[in-house]
Amino acid sequence: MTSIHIGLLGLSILLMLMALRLPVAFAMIVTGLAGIWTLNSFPAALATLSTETWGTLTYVELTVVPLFVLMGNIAGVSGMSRDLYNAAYCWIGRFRGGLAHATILGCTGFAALSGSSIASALTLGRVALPEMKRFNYNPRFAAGAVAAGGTLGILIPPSTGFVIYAILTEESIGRLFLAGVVPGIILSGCFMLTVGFLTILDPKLGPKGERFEMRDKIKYLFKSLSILSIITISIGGIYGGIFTPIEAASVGATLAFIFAIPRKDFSIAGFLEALQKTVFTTVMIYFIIIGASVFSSFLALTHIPAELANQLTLMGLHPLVLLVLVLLVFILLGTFLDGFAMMVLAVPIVLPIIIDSGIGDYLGIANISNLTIWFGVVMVIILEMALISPPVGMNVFVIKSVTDIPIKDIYRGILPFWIAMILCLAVIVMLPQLSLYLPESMKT
Amino acid sequence: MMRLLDNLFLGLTWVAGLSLIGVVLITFLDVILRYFFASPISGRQDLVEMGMVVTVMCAAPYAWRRGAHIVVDVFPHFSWAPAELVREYSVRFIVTILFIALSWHAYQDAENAILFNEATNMIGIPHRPFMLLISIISAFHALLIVIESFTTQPRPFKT
Repeated sequence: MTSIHIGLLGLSILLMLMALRLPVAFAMIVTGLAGIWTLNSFPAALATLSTETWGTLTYVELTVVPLFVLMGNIAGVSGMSRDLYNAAYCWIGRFRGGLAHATILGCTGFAALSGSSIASALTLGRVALPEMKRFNYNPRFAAGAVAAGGTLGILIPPSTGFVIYAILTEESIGRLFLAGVVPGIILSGCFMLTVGFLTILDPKLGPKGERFEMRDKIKYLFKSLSILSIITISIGGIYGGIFTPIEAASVGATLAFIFAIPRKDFSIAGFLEALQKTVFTTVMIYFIIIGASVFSSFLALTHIPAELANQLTLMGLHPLVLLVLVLLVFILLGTFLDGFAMMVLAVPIVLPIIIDSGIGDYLGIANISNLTIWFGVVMVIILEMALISPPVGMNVFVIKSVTDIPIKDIYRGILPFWIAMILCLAVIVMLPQLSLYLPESMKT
Repeated sequence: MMRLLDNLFLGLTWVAGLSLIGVVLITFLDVILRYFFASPISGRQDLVEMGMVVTVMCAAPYAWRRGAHIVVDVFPHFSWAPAELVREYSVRFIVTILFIALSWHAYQDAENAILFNEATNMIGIPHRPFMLLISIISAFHALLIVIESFTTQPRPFKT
């Protein structure tokens, strides 16, 4: 049995363990350890477990995850996350499909506070779905808008998806965050265009909402300033070279806490809930990274990534065809694999192929670092699609938990937004400068 | 028994929370002191590194109890009780062995850390207590799963 055969066997065992509902992190650790034991030795496998655990726990760059998660959770429990939605609701809710537009804008704003799509979908779902129901919005359309809008959470910085990708590829977290800004805004715009298009075709999908006085509009706009200032200071601070991502996250978390104190929705119990949720998410992500590190060590021993890259190069496929094939596989994987699981599994194998494929030269991407960043954005958009793809669409389950709309109707409602994502993905793929402009102009 | 353990691990989760608050405050203070007083906190990175070891390890057992880890539900409608039981206990067995292995090796690392005087770069915080923490909590984690297997029903995981 060659190392490549052992690698392929390892991948099959990993998928089998995940199908047995072994948590993804532990499935990767177990498979990685068994593989290293087979290809090297038992002491080497144990040493890898210990070294990777210590290395991950003390990897200071990863601290950005809990700090940004805490910021988002504080914004969630204090009701701050609804401010942007409320402001958008006041200004555009009275137009046809206005509440769906407000939901997408609210999701975009909340995405800039929280790195989690699930948190975005849950928070906005609780607020926006009852409101859309009140104004007789089509339930399928309403659920589709919230589920799709929620996915923006992992594209618009701060994004846990980018942090994990950065750790896997040893790329700069700050540059990846900035790379997500323009595609995030474009995707948000695509979702709004989809809402507009659908409501033009069938006005009954999203009837006009409430009309507000100018005084109320100004009041709600003013209330949303706290969120906007946190976003501007933390993300703007990274762009301006004032803060490192960890510092930006700590400033953001502290500001979120300070702005939350005077709010009547915020309480000690709420803060403790946010803190507990944050440490649980932290544990989940750290163990995923430990699992990915152990599994990557095994994959490196098998030479699968290098061999696969060689074979594909020998096939002489056009870089764009190769890229489309890779993306199609990802989209397919995303229909049944958790997005993060897919990322930690696939990136170590696929990134060398992408780098060797010549796609960088074809698209005019100057260097490997930029190519890695651009591919990170593409990867995260695929991850977003995975979040709303049947049968394992996490955001769909989240929406289902806050509404009584049948799952199949939610998926139907998502379909137009999913198509919008494909179109947006095509634009991001063909125009890498959309992703690379901000990271390239970032001050260091 | 399970209630006692849950309370113990919930307490540890609050230790994790406090440690995380410490990490936030140290980093925030460092920014303020650096920009306004030109006097950053010496060893901020060391404190953050060790703070995260405490945060993650102290919260890990209760995170397990609350089903915080991601699982992939490939067959959501499959529910044949005997097979489900075997699957669940196999999962618990695998994770128990994993934490025993981690506990054992982390203990060895802690012993080696004394030999090689391992410490953080800036202010020399010794690694040994934190490696011991990983070892002890991993052992408790394994024990928790064993006791849980005998006393409670399978808990829900995040899918």
